[in-house]
Amino acid sequence: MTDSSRREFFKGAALGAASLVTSTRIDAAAPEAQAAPAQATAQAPPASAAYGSDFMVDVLKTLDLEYAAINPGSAFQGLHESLVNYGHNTMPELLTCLHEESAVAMAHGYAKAAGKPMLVVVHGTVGLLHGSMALFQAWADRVPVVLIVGHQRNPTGIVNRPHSAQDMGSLVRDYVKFDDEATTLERFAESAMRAYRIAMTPPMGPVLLVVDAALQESRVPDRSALRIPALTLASPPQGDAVAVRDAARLLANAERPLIQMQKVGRTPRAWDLMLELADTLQAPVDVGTYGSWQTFPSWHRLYGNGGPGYTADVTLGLEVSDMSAAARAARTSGRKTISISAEHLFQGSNIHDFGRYADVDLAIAADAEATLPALIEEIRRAMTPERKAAAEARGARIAAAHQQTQLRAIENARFGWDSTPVSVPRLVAELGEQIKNDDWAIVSGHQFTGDWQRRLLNFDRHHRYNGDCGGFGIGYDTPASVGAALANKKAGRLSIGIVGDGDLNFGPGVLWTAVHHRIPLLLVVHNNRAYHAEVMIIQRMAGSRARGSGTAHIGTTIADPDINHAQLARSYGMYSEGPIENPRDLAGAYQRALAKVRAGEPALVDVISQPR
Amino acid sequence: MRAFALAAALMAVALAGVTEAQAPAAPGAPTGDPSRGKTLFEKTYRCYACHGFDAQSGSPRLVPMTRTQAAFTTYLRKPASPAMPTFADPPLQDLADVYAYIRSLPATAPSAESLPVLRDVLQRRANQP
Repeated sequence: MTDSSRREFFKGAALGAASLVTSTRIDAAAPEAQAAPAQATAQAPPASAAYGSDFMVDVLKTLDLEYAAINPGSAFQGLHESLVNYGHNTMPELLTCLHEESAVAMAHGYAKAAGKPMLVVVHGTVGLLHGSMALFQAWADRVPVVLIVGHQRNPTGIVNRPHSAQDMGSLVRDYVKFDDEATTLERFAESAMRAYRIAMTPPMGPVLLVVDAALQESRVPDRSALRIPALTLASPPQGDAVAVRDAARLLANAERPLIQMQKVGRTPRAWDLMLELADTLQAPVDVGTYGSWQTFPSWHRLYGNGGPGYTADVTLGLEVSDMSAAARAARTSGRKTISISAEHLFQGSNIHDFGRYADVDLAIAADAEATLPALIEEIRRAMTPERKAAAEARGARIAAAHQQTQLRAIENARFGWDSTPVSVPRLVAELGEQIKNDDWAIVSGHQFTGDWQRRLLNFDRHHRYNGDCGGFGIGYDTPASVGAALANKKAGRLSIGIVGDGDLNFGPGVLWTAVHHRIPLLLVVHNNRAYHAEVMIIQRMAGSRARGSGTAHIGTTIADPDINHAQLARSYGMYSEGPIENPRDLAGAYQRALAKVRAGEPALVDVISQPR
Repeated sequence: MRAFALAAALMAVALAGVTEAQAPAAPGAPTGDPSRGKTLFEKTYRCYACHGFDAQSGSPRLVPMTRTQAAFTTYLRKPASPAMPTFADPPLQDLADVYAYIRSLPATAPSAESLPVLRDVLQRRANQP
């Protein structure tokens, strides 16, 4: 599969339902299908839906949901049984998860790699609350997840009563875009279509369907009386033509334009458009510290902030959630700032991830990706021959400055190269050496590996990096890596997650899920035996109070006893190497683990590492 | 041009690795014990948290240590950078021991040219169009 055929998020109504219903299915001969021989084979489905949950499966099958990540619960026992026996456990295929947070985080990572949502089904109240943290991360990352929660609206026993709520959706309403509890099957069908459309309309996000257990288990007397409406995706909003022209003129006439991006790189198409925009303007592209996707090639000549002394006179922010600092600085010096973002379509939130108010000169409420073609075209129209010549000269200067900076940054990896514990740059560089001839993808974030991934690995394709968690909560990287690796499996890509020991231990059960479903993935544990950022934070706090300089380890370190993650992985049936303390042992460990991954299995390498 | 850029970058880092002459301890300052300093560096004050166990894989690098012991102590008591924790309460002897330990650590790193993996990364980056 090529870049252009994947992550077709947000092509809008032009694709619509037709393309969705014709999507590929899991190869029946794939290892997943053979993964659990002890389980009973699903029976051929009845000719027609006999139960409410059978009809729900009919609805879900129209939504191109390849997988349903679940942890079982009686509040959705009807739907569970229908998915397996009526739906024949395909489209969606159940993924057995050992924690709902893992299930939702897997869906989060999967959506970014596959370009479409995964279904997650959870138990009433308890399952939803377990999954709520990962739901929050997906919401903060603007990533679609379709979540169903079973609801025993009329509980009959002491066990069921806590699984019921007056308003189930309220438990997570702060971090879903839409939630609904249908009271009839036809309403369920409509609600499912609406939920999917809302999830996939920028700014995207998770959606929740609450499904009453009684409705699931109800009889369907006449299936032909129940209609499933067609799914039509909404085309993403494009910027107003006049405003886009104004932005283009500012940029075309700028002496030192700068492009900032955050959540703009959802699709390979966005990647191509970003290259086109940067090339047209010959402007540096600053992707910031964290991101949801790789939005621009990390070794590109225009990747960076323009080099020393480059002060932008016009800054264009594309899906940047907080441009307040740039806008404030620009206001005081007559420089200009432009923001194009679907975030301007804000409809309310209890979470302050929108940042401070940015008094930009031009704010365009639109999906940046959808707006880029028009913006590029307007910039081309506004570029006189003189401006084009100036841009070319600017681009050459920027490229030279960036190359100097980047080579120096790469070269700094030599410090601590032979140290024990293993330095983070060596952990990354030795990995890069082993995968440089593969079609690889880093499916974890890089929040805790400094900037070494982007320095030492050539992120030259859209799928090379799957981004950070969105909400800055620990526990995302490991399950999201498993979900993304599942998506990459179909594309034949080599998936690698570099995860912290702190992250892994939030939900190590997902290792079992990866093994059980034969999801090929190399997990490299950056094992610094601490919540390391917190060690430094507590050191600073104690220092500011002039006391307790020697106590920062209390409550922040993961030692005494040290955790052996290789042994942990083996207990879940996963191939593992380590703990690796000598950097000279890294290459061999990577080679052996990657051989397993290339053969279709997950594997883990536990690396005892320097803090950062 | 590419070769020039690569050579220039390597030269810059090579210059940064030049070790300065060992600075004498200030008169009256405690004499440090590097062995005890290692324990303090790694287990008590956890200097490694930012600077690395080797004092060079973290940031900022502490080796080669160019400050005098007196300047080192003054800096820890009242750091100029907000990123650096203040170490106001440790006894002077502890700081002297940590200082002695840092001074005992290897101050050099291998050149990038001598590391095939890193040399390959640099070459591939330099060859980017």
